[in-house]
Amino acid sequence: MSERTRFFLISAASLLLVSAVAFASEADDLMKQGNQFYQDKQYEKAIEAYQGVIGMGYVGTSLYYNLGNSYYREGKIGYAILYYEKALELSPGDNDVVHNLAIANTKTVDKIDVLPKFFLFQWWENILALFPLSGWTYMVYLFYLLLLCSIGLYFFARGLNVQRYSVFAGLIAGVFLIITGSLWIVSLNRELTVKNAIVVEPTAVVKLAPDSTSNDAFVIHEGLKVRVLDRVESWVKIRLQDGKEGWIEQKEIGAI
Amino acid sequence: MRPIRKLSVIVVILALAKVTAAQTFTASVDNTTVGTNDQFQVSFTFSGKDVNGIKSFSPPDFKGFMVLSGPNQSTSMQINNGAVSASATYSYYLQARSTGKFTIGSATINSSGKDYTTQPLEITVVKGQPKQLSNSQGNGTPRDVGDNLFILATVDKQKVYMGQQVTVTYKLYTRLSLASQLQVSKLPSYEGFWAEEINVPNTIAFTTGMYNGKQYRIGLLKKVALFPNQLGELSVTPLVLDVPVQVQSRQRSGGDVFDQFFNDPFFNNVQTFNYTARSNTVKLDVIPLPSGNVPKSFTGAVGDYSLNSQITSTNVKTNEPLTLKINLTGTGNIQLLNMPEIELPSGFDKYEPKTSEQIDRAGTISGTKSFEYLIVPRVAGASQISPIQFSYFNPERRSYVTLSTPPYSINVAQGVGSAEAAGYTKEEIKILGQDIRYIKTADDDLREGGDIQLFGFGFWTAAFVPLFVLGGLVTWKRKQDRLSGNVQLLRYRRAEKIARKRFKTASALMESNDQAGFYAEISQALFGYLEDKLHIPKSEISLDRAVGELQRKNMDSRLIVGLKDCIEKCEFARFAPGSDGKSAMNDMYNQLTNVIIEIEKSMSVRKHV
Repeated sequence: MSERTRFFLISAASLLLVSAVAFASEADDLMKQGNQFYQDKQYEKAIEAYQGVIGMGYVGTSLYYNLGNSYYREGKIGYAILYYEKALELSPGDNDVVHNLAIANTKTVDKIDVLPKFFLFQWWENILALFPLSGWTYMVYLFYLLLLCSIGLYFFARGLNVQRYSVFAGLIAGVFLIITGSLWIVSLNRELTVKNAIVVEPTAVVKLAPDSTSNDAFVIHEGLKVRVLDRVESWVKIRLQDGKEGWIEQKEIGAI
Repeated sequence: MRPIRKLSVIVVILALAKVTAAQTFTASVDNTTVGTNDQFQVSFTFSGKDVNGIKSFSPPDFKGFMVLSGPNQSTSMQINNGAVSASATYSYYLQARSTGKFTIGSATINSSGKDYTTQPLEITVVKGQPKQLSNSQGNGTPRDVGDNLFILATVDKQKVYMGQQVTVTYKLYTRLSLASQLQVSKLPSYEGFWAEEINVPNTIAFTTGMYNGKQYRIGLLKKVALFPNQLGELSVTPLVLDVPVQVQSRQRSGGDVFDQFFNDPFFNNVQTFNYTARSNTVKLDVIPLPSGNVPKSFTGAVGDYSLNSQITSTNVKTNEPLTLKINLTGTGNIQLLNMPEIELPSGFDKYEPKTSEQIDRAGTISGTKSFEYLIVPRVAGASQISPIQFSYFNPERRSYVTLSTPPYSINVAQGVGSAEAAGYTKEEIKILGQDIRYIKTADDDLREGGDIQLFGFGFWTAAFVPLFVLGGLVTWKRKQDRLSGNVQLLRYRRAEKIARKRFKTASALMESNDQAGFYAEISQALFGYLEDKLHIPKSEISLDRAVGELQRKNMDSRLIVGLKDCIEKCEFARFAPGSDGKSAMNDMYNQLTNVIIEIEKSMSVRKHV
């Protein structure tokens, strides 16, 4: 490798690094700008800034949470709930997000009765909500590595006691691996199959078929969480929590 | 021949009937050549069997003309020999703005789903005659009229606060007789004001008064209350009126009685012409409200107000609505008043207030504006509705005044219906009064988004590399142990196993009472064990060497003594078998097993603890 090519390679690499860093700091700046706008009660501008950060390809709990707050202040409850839900997706159980989401939910028009869940199912849901999918992936991997380590220790150990301990540790790691593994699979399955969305338009008419001339099935309002079942062109089949189904135009909902 | 002719006549009649029954849409004008000051009429007539099917009428663009009135719609229906015909007419009164040739475009009408269009009309506008209905030769030239007829606009104040009422009065001063109704040709524009028309009688009642030393008949035309909403010098554009004036023509000469008689206006001796009267422009100076000591609850009300409030009940049950009514009474720009903000403790639902106003437009604008709040308590308990404040600026006293309603204590008892009945759950009621938390500013958790490829290369690498590494390491280790001749370790590991095997053989020999065999076996087992454990080559093994090695490893001395004793006994019995045989063998066996177990235990403890 000649001196010149080496120089070019190094400068190209450093340029890439610098531009990546510059990009990141630009997003940080825009985020701070949004926070300042929020502080100054210029919520519309704050929304613009936060959306700009999202437009640059960034995600983040605080980003979604702050954006949700701005929409809430602007009175756009549907969008507020949508972004709170997105924040919750990134960090399930975040105190602030849960609190504000609960408040935003009281402002929604539609009150759909959800049957209380059997306590075991509720526990299961609570455990699942402990980590996002990535969190569960790391947990599974951690126990997998622990299991491998204890197997290795068993083979390399010189004393009987060490071998005994390693078998014990391996058993525990194995049990946890099975538990976290099943939770991981369930949450992965949800991620892949269950798509929820929030109604963002103040009023949305749900049709019986994916066709604007079709009969109206029912009317829902902003902030309602629906499950997305199917998609035909610009129409989405949704199901409410009480089991009602219908078709709605895609632009009237926002996918979490 | 004759019948055929008859038939053809019938056919012709039918065809004619058909033609007459056809629907037509025509435009007409009463005069195609008009003067600039003339009014003329343009009509669009739709005629046909049925005018009920008319859906929409779109007039042409009357470019170059002023629309004085219209569209004036009239419909008529005729039944002629059993045939129904109807027509609908839309007419406009127009006045030309300037001279020249103008075209009035087509009007379109939709009847029973069909569109009909009129032909465009050509209008020639010529320089208009002076606005005289007949030639005036008398003493009434417009210049003279201007002295004898004018409109005066007056204001009650020149300098007003923003939002303070100022009244503009338009009065007609005349020394001439007026022919008929006056016609407003241009209303004043109140730019920068909120204007309220003050009621004046429809017919003008003239009074007599003096102006500039002359006697006039004065009639009140119009009175407007203005509330400025801009600062600085504001002006109100003039009011323009078309006044038909009667002017007596030159008196006939001679003192003939008949002439005198016929000089009476009754006999059409007067000439009428339209005079355009224009009022003066009113100028006002609007000054801002004082900026000191502005109350918090001030929202721009200027005038003089009083505030009172009523509540339907202070002892209610949950979910039973109560009404809080707030009345603002007074003078000022009452229509523009904002409602005082009402703050309720948590656990109350407030609905949009019902606003009603009663405005009295005689002289100063005054009235009452009331706000009716429907309040529904959701949770039981005692709470208080804090006072509602309302502030206004009093221009007479030049100060701000703050009014306040009394606070209301409300006792809410638990009603029959549960809280959920109102559409809220108990949990929701708890958080109803709360606000959202502040944004997160400290967290720096931005990261690049995009879907993380879950089952990508990284995932499988992370999953299998540790597994392969472990497998490789274990195989390598075993191979190393076996091949690289780490026999010592192997032997060390297998020492106990081999010893156990030998002991088994020994115990079999003991059963068959083979003393020599037994002692040889256990002696070998013991030495073999020591060789393996202490890494002593077979050629160098001896009791002293083994004891020395054990001592070097800091073994319990009691153990070493026990071992020594054991081995000596064993050697002795091997070469000089005793008579007591079996029981001695059994003792020996147990003792040696114990020794080996002890050594094993202490060695592994020493090594790994």
